[in-house]
Amino acid sequence: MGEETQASRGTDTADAASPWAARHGLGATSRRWFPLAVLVTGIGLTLLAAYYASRTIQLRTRAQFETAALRARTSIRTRFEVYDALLHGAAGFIAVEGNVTRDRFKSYVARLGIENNYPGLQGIGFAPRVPAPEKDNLIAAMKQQGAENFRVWPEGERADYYPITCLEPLNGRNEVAYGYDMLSEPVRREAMQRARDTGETAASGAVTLVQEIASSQQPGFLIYLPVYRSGVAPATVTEKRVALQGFVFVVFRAGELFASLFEDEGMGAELEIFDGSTTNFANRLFRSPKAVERAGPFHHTFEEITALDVCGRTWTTRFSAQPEFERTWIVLSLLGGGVFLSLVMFYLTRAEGRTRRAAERAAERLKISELALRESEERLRRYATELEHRVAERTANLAQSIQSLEGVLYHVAHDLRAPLRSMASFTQILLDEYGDRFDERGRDYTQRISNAAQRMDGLVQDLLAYGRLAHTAVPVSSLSLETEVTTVLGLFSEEIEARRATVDVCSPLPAVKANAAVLDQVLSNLISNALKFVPPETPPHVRICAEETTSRMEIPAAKANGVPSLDNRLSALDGKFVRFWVEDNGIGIDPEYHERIFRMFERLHGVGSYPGTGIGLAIVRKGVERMGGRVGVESTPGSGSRFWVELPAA
Amino acid sequence: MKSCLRAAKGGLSWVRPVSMTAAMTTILHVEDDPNDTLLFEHACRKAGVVFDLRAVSDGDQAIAYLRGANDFSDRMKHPLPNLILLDLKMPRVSGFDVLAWLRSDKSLCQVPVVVLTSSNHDADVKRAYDLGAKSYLVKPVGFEALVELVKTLPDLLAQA
Repeated sequence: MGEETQASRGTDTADAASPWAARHGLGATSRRWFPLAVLVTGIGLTLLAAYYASRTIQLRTRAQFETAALRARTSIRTRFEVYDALLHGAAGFIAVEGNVTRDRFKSYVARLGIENNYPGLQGIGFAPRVPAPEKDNLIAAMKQQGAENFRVWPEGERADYYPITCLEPLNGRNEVAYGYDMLSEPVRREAMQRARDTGETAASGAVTLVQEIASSQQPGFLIYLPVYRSGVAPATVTEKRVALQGFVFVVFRAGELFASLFEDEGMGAELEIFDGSTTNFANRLFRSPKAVERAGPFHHTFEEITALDVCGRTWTTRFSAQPEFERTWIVLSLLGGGVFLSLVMFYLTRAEGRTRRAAERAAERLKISELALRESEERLRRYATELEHRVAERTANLAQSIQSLEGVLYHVAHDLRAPLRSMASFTQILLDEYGDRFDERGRDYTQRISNAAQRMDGLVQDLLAYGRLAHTAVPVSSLSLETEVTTVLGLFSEEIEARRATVDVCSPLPAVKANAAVLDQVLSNLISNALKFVPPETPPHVRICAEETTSRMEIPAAKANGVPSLDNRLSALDGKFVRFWVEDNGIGIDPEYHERIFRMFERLHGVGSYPGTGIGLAIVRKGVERMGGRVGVESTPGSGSRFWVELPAA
Repeated sequence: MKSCLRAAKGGLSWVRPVSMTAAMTTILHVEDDPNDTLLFEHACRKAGVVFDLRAVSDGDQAIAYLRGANDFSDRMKHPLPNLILLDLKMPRVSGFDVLAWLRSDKSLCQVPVVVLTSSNHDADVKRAYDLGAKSYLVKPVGFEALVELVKTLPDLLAQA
């Protein structure tokens, strides 16, 4: 019962622990104490249960003990009532007989069936009152009855003798007692005189029976009943003393008597019977064999000491008992089982708690690492954003720097022109107005100054043009490419005529989205180059054609360098666009230089052979790029060049 | 600006027709580079056109001349010009400042201004025209080109 309660309670508590803890926001510390709480509660409940069980057992044992004691007392009393009746019967028989003979007595006792009906009885006998004068007659009568060796003992002169003349059953032990005058012995005498004076049965104190001939002696006692001559007990003591004929008596060996009395009973108690009103060891008549082994730490001795009146003599019975071993075992196993279960529960809850804590720690770690991951991602994203911002900022700064640089360049170039103008103009005036005063060499030098100034102005102008392209807005609109080409060709009419050049235009040319001024500049530079880079004595042949297309030109030079050209990366040409090209029959360009020629100040030829600033194609590229297009060249040295330009279609 | 336009409608009483007496045409040449001044004179001679050229070297002086202030109070010595040739890039008071001042002056806003500068910057061109310049000419590098430019001036005056 106790175990069940304990176990179920423990399980409930364990199951309820986690939600409870969660609801109340208990930390790991509280949960760490939980198994200990289970252990303490379990052991506490176990002790409580053991206490109640022990108490219950004790109470039950006490009840059983008291019952047993009562029953034992009743048994004793009942048995002695039987002996009382037996003595009265024997006394009646002797009174009727007058002078009882051994044989008659023997046959009387034989009919009683002593051994079967009166267990524990050592013997029943008769001791007549023999006045001193009749002593010899008695001895003679006894001898006559067959008792050859009969004598009255102990010897001594006394007024009356009370020798045992009859004692049945006759056996070795009882035979010793023949002729024994019991009145000669004080303990017996007291009982005999009490019996004589009261007319009732009287038990003697503990004596060593004369029959105790063997080595294992045990206490004995006797019960006497007086026999009066009249057959009836006289009223007064004096009359009783006069009328006394003798005593019938029964003899007991106490050990045998009580053993027979309690042989059937598992008393569950220890019984001691003392003669007298004290539990003096010397007066102990009987001690039952231990009914219960003294065992276990919980033995508690019950004790009941009761005075018992036995045939006018006070006996003291002492019952004592301790809880039965089995019952003690119940308590012990309850304790052991409860403690064991508590320990198991403690271990289980602790293991569960540890597992849970481990899981929680793992979850916590997981959460932390997730957080860290998310943080890292966030940081990465921030870095990326920051990087983008920084790149954008740098790009903007760079663009601004480039723009301001171009602005500076523009202004510097602008201011450079003023002195150039003066140099060129005054040299020209010098030649015009004072040329006749120079010799040939003087005129040549002067002309060289003028040429150099002019060339430098060309350079500056180109720089200005480039700078302007770089830092001014280039609004685009739909233009007729054909119109622009015609306009620009008009500017070159004198040169075309002078060089005996032929120019073919594949009319009609499509419309484009472009800025007129910039487009004119681009065309102008390309046509100028086409006319310029032709071997001397060869009439230039220029061909200008165009097509509308969607497939873009590759720039081989860029690929050869392994670096994507700016054109390939930045051009915003989508869908339909116009590609036109300016072909010449000129000296051509080595593929190695196809990319370089579009850079600022790149020149492939000396000023002497093909004059130029080295800026023309840079202007072309810049202009085309500002209009959202691309430019490139296809050429092999010696077989002319073919410059192509891609612009958005109108 | 409006007042100036009204004045234009009201008549050009003070403008002498230059085509009749080209020799009498007074041009105020506002130019900080003395070389350019000299070259212009030379180009005029080379072109065979005769102007009464009055040169000042910056915007301050130009305004002073036009107002008749300081040294320029004598209109006999310093007559009002029929045409102003104006450089833009000058120290202190620029050509743009002169143009702006001219526009605000009712009596002078009718004098045609021809900008003659080394700048061919679009923004400069636009600003000059917005401020009332009659024409915008870029200084050529070659002397011959300058001579050709000078030759166009009488036509400009005639249009004005």
